[in-house]
Amino acid sequence: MRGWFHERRSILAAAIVSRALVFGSAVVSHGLGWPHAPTVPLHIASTKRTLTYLGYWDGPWYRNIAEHGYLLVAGRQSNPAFFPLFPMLLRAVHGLGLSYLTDGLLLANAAFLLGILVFYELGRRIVSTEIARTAAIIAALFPMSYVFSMTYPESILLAALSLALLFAVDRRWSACALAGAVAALTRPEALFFALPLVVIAVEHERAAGRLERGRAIGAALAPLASLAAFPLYLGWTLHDVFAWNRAQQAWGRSFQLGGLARAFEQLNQPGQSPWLWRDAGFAVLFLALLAAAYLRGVPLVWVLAGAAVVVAPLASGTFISDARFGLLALPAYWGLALIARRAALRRGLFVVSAALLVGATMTLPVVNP
Amino acid sequence: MDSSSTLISSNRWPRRARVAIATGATAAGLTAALAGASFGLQAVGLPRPTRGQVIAAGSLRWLTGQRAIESTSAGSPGAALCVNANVRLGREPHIVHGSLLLANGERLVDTRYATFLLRRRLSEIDGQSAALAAVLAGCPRALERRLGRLLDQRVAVRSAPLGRDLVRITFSEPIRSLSLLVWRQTSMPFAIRLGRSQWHYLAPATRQALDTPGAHVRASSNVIVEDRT
Repeated sequence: MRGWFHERRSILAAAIVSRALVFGSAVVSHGLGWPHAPTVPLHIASTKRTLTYLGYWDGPWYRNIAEHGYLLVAGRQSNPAFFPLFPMLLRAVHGLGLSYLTDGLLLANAAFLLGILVFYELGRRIVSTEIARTAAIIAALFPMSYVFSMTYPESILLAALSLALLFAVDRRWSACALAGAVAALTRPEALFFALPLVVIAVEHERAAGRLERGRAIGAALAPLASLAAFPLYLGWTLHDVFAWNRAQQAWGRSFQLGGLARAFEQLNQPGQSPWLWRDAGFAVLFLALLAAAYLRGVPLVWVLAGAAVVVAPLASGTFISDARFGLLALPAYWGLALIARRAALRRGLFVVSAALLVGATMTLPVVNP
Repeated sequence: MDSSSTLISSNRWPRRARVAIATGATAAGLTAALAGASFGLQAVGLPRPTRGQVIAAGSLRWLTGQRAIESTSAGSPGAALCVNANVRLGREPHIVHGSLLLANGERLVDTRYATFLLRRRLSEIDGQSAALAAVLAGCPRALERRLGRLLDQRVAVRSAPLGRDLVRITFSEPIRSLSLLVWRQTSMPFAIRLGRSQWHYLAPATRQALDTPGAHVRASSNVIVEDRT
């Protein structure tokens, strides 16, 4: 046990320090009353509590689902646009008597800690131990990683997705199927990582017995099956299997063939938020890091899955939030770790990343991650 | 090809088929079990909206597809007509969605910000009662707004069947609670009332009603009636 901790102490330290930076920045922001502008009601969240900023933006929507369930309100932003696992967990933990904000923060940060450790274990099986360690530390300190501490489902997706992929690499198919199903109920990005699952399952097929072969294929299909259960549930409860798509449209997202072109056009439209360029910049950064990962030996199928996580949301016609979606392009962290092999470069990267993490957390009151 | 090789291939094929079937069945079984578990987890782990809320949401969706509604009530001499319109408020460059209501020889323009009397120009009037008139006349946008707000706030809704084809839903508001009679099949609101007022009966506007002179508005009035075709 001591050896296990010793090997992972730098990752645990990065995870804890990065969360301290995020929580500290949120507390300082709140204490200073930053920003001094009357924009706060946008977030439909209370501003009274010290960590309230970490519950902003989408947080109240997840709480709304946990409290009242789904309801599609035509022509307005409504909650079927959000996936069900996080509100289900919020509701379950709320039974312990804590507030929804506390529930969400506990869930998100516990899942983040697990996710970072599992991501390291996964990395050790794909790249070297040193690169896997650096990648896990980078993931913890990454500027947008403050989202992992918000009342958002991204950290649960990080944990579930990393577990599904780790189990697949270790040929533990039933556990892989379960974790893949959990990931797909958390956010739709999980579906893209079915691609490496399929490849691992197919590679394994020749060597395995018929029962194990079947389990491998079943595990690869698990995210798809679980994802399909969400519209079926909406069909059952709201009498509309397309409720998710309709709600997405009300949020300004409609998936079309020309969506990618529209996303680029939107960047230059008058009146657009300059923050859109942040998301576009991160999208480019993620894709560059994925390319670096591929050029330095990370298997193509992993890189393609990561690229799909970054590019697919753009088909909805906007770069909005792509900086957040790209956090789950896991091979990008391996790409950055492979670039920063030299110790001095690596240390510099950690320091700059931590500073940017603080700055990015301070932007929370003014811009949706 | 000799007889022994034919025998070998015919023996191998059923074995391959058996393996394929076993593999497929295991995969399908695991996938179906997970899909079922995912569905069940959602069914157990999340609250469901009430029947009344789902019916109200259906009516709201029906309204979003409407451009004009006619309404009648026992207390009014003639039918009222309400048409979706776009309104330029003051010197603001942007246009807001609103409704043009023709009732009792008057023309009202209702928006989410204010309500106006339309004669030669728009003149703002007491918003409260005029806005309620737009809701009671079934103006699609006014009623959408009201229903949307109530559903967003998850105000409790009681529902009760009225015969085979209609259902009555009532929002539990402290004053002037909104009630609707809704066709079960189409989710179309058939009648509306606020508190204890008269029922107002609603129907999609006929072409004849839309050709009423009052529904044609001069461009200088800052009101643009939406295309009705």
